[in-house]
Amino acid sequence: MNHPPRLAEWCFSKLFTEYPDYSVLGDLTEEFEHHAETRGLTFAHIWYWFQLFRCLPSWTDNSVYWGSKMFVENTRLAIRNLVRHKWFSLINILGISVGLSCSMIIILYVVNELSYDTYHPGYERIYRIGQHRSIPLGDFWWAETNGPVAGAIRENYPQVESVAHAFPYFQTWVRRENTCAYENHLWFTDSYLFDVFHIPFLSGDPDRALVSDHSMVLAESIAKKYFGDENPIGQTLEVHISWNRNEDRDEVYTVTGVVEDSPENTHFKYDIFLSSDALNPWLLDEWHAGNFYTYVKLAEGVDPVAFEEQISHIAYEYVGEELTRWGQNRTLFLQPLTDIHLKSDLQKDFQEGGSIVYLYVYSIIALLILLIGCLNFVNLTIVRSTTRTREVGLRKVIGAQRIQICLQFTGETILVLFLALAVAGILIVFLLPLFNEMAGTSLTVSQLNNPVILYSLGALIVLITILTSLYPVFILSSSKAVTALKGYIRQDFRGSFLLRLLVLGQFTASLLLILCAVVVFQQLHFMQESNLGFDSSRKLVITFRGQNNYLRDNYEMIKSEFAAIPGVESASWSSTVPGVRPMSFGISVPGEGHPFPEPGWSNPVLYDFLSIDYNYLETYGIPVIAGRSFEMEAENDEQNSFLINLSAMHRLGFETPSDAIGQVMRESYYGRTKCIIGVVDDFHYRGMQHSIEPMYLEYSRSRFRVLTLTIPSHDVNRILDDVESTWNALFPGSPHHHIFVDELLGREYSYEARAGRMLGILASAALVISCLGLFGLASFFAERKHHEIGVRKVLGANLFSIISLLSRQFAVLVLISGITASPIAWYTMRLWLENFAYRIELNPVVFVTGSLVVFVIALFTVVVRSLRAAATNPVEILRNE
Amino acid sequence: MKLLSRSEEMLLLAVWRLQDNAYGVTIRQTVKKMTGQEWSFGALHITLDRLVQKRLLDTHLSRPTQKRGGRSKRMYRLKPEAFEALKQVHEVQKAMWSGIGDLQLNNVK
Repeated sequence: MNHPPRLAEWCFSKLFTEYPDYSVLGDLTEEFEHHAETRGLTFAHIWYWFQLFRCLPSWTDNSVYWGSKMFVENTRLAIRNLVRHKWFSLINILGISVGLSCSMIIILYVVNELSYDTYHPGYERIYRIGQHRSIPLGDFWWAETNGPVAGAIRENYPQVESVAHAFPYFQTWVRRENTCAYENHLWFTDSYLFDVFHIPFLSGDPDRALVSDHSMVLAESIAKKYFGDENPIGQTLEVHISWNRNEDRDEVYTVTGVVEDSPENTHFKYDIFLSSDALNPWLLDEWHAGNFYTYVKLAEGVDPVAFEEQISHIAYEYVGEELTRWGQNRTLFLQPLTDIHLKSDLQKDFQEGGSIVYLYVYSIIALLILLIGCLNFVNLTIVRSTTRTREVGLRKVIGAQRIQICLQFTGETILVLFLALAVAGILIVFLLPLFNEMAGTSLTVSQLNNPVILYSLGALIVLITILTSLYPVFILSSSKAVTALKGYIRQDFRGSFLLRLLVLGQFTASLLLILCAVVVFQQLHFMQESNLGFDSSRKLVITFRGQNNYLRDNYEMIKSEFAAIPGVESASWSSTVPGVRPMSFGISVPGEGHPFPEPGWSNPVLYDFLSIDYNYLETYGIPVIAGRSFEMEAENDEQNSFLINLSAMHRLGFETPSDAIGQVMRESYYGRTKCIIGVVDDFHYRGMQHSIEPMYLEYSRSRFRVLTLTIPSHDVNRILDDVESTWNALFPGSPHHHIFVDELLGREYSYEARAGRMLGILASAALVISCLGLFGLASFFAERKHHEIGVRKVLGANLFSIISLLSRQFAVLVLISGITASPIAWYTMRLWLENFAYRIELNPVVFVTGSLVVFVIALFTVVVRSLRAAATNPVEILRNE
Repeated sequence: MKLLSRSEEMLLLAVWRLQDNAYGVTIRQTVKKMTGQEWSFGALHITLDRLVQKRLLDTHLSRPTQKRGGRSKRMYRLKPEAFEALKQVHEVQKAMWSGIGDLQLNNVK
């Protein structure tokens, strides 16, 4: 007897699964045999296979029809399930969508930070050239280089595709007729810059734009501000420029191009480009001065390490003799463009970058929150599905196959996930503006449309679906219909190791965040509240920029004008104010060092520098420990006197302040020798991250730049108006700029304050999600133990014993999470605190209290739910038996 | 009641014709003999199933024999409702065709 082809027969048996009696296969075999007898075996085989292919269209048609029918049914079932357990569904959806939206926003932030400067074509070949200077004063790594570097590289190294430099001239005022304003980012540069960076021109020719004398290129918004709808090309603007203390002037520049506004995600922000021919010619040729930022774009395939090696000693080819004579070692190095924003710690950098460490921290937090949200979801979904054993049993009896049950549960999970996604989307839309305000960013929802984010979101959904479906798929669907119908599946919480682990993980993560947030807030509070060594309240600071001509001769008059405003208590000149980084210069003392620069003096060491007038110390309430402050009458104080702070006294090696009085020091930059007339107490002129450095103070009028006014706490607005009108009377037409010292000091902590706020909000979100999950679990178990509670009450159990029955196991878990989270938080926070020169001591009490508070909140959540269960009348429960 | 589709009508008539010998193979043969169309097994069985589901056909399994690889036949028989349905289709067809004579139909060519 001939047998039909077995493979085809197997296919048929899979196609016609509705016929377990194989009658169709019988029909086929009968016809096959008939054909084999009449027309030969080969024909019969071909015929059989042909029949199989003929069946495929109608089979596909059919399976799609029934598939969609089942899909509709399952969707309806899922929605019914959601609605019937609406509180449960709400908790479930809310938990994961809060987690999702928080983490998505942070991921947006992180992705945005990482995207800095990556929009330039070939950005991975662009480098900034920095220099390492090793001089007797110490080692310095600078972001800036000198004028001739760019030209020298352009001429000598063909492996460079393009090289450009730019000279920052930030914050000066620009004028056209009646429009006059401070502009932030002005750069003296040349057209080479547009070869290195991607700066699209809206009008004008990139190659010719900055070639002609005193030409300028404007960003679009700047052009709009000064010219409105007019065509700016060919028109002129006045830019206020001052090159040294003795002269300043308004220079006229002709607009030759308009470029797109600088994007947010670049370290090189620009408003106006000015042609570099307007710079002093010596700046461009001087190897020893000039703060140019030089960028180089290497040709493709050039090894940056080898190139760095080649250019590192380029200065020696031009001024090698001088460098050797001065004992100076100067090497150039390359800094990748994408490192500048997040990883640069170079000195003399014009930009304040972010910190890659904080970015890592934020990413970890985002992951933690996401983890908590997802664990919650997985937990609750699994727990929910265990209550559905009867449903599964019934389905099995009716004839559901295992795969169908799996599909049903998976489908429900996916439905809930998509609902959660929708809710998360809405949350993001509402939360993003708040986040932007808090973090000082300008993120938009459309930035979510990023392949990395979308793919990881997709992967996440798949992962959650798999995790949540594991339980129903493996346990529920494999159970025997009979046992499932009896509703017997082990559902004790104590028995489920996985569930316990999930709850533990959740609470450990949220407690970790909370403890860290508490420590960050403590440190912030410590920094903001601790005594700075001077009085920072009610100090209004007026900044002078570019009024040098006038200042030089009139500082005494200006001071008295402002001091004359009714209510102003005092006015005082200085070079900077607290909250701003001071300059520093080298100081030598009598002795023998390397015979440079001056025999008879020791090697210079860097000291911070402040120039103050005679009543500055009085204004700020900084005490003089020994000697005296500068005096108005003492004419030669400006020529002959230094003050030093306590740290400087220690560094100079004096035992007591009075020892220091009368000693001489030499300031090496200008080569001036002066006598110490007094020692002042240490005060925190920077944030508490920075330790107080040795500092010397001078009475040097030429360095006065800011005027501090002490004003009364009432009437502030009137005084601000008066200050403005006084300013306008003195400097008609130039915009004025004032700020409070407290504000400046607050800026020192802005990064930490932001981190603290973010951490606080995220920690609360984590706690809320975890508690939602706990509430869900508690209500589930209260329901499960319905009968047990009823019976116990009938037998005389009191309220307390029932509550403890329900909450004991959760309470233990939360306590354990306190024990696991505390050491991690302790270790992390100790690392973080090392960033601060002045910091709090970690206090175990904080950790214990924090854990206890979380414990109480968690317990409260569970007890609230248990109370309801314990308070029900046992008759209500047991009546249904 | 909805009218039968053309294919349902054909299968019902084939089962009627075959009386007690209506099962997959014979139904397929009959349809081929009458119409020249050879139905695929899939199409045939799906339509038969639908008729069973609509309670127009009764079905039972025959005793397995040595032939056909030892598999039993799934036999079909019309239920009273099927006659009703067929009658209805026939009525409709007659009504639709009335007045259109053979002559006119032939003239179409």
